[in-house]
Amino acid sequence: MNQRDSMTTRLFRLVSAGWLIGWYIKAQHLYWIYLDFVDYPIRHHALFPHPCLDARMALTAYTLPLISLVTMWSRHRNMMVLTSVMMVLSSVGMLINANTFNDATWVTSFWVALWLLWLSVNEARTDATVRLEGTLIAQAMIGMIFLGGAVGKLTEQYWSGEAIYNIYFQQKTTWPYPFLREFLTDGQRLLLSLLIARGSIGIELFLALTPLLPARFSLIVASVIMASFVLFSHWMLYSVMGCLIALAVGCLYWNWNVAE
Amino acid sequence: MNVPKRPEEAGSLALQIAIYCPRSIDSMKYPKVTWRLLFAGWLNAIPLLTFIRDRRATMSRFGALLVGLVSLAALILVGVAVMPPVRAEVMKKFHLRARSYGAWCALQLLPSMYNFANEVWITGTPLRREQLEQGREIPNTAHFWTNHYPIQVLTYWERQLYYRGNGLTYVYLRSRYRDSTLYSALRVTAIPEEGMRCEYLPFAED
Repeated sequence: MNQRDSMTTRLFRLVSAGWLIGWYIKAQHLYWIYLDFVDYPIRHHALFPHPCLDARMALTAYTLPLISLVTMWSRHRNMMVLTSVMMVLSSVGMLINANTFNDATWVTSFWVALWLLWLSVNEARTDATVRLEGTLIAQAMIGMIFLGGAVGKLTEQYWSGEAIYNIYFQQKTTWPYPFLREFLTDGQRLLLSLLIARGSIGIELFLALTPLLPARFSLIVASVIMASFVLFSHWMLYSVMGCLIALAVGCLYWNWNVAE
Repeated sequence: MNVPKRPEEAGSLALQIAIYCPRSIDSMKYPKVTWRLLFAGWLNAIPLLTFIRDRRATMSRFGALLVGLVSLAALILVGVAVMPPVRAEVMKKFHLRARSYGAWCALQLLPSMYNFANEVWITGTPLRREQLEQGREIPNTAHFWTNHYPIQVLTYWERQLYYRGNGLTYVYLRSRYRDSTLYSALRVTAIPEEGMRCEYLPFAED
């Protein structure tokens, strides 16, 4: 096995590991919600075909990537392809089911799984541009995902802080929001909401520019910002960001020793 | 020290800056070369520009397909901001009112975290649209904001709440973005042995 193949395998395992951790990190939380799905099923909704109302479809899609815990360690291209195809199908299964469609975890997991599929399909390539191509695709995906987050906030209710104020400072019952409701005046909470909202929009718009920035710089900045989102928000946000962080760190590792 | 004409001859970008910036400040001998090298170094580090400028760099078909998919997704996302018909379709996605299940599935692949100003009202009696628009508290009605997919209050949150009382609940959704507003009204029937049924309604007449 030559050095470049070993790099591809290591990269695949690194990003797959991050993907799987993000996918299963809130398994306990989802378990209790799944019991709700089973006890109180949705029997009819005009949009969904009947199989997509079934919580068991979501359960199957959610547990399918467990096989990846074994297959991701294989050096064989076909097993890598199989692993990534399972990840793609699982993500799609969760996205189109009436019980689970709303979680952004499945969206980010879908796109990163596509990148893993690209990596596994191109595992045998020895040309010089494979690294550039993989990095470009990763940058494009990260940029597009944060573009989606930013665009949806370009509205008066976010720009004024009203949405953040209501969602977090008025409604959240987890720390530190009860403390802040007691400690800060209404005006201070509104101002803080405005700053947080505009800061988030600015950061996401900056991350949307990732494909137009130098590879190492953009991947370092994106990794730090995404990790900060998790640290300063809620640990469960790792389910959304984990695969993206792994993708950015993996591509950074891939580009680290290359002179630009 | 000879000044290399090509950035690759000077090694990494950091090394270029370390070597050339002090020289340009001290002696002003190489200002044009310094800025050219720095700028060229920056541009050479962007994979996208490398593929555009270097004819020898070609993408695989699958890679090109992925870049095309991502670009299409990005275009649609930009369309949300500037094209009301695109915006309307994505807002309908949030209310599960897409024109078809296939179209809804396709839109599900678009990232939409914390998109739009989404509000929900949950009550036991039908409401008029004017009551939702007036901005005042409505008696016997729960009102809250959600980060995305306001309809998740039905599909994801504590469903047993809908089985209380006579099992009949009215849920009203509003999503706002710039000058677009989408309202949806649903009647939810929850029967212990039969599960939940969700039906879309027109708003109650005055």
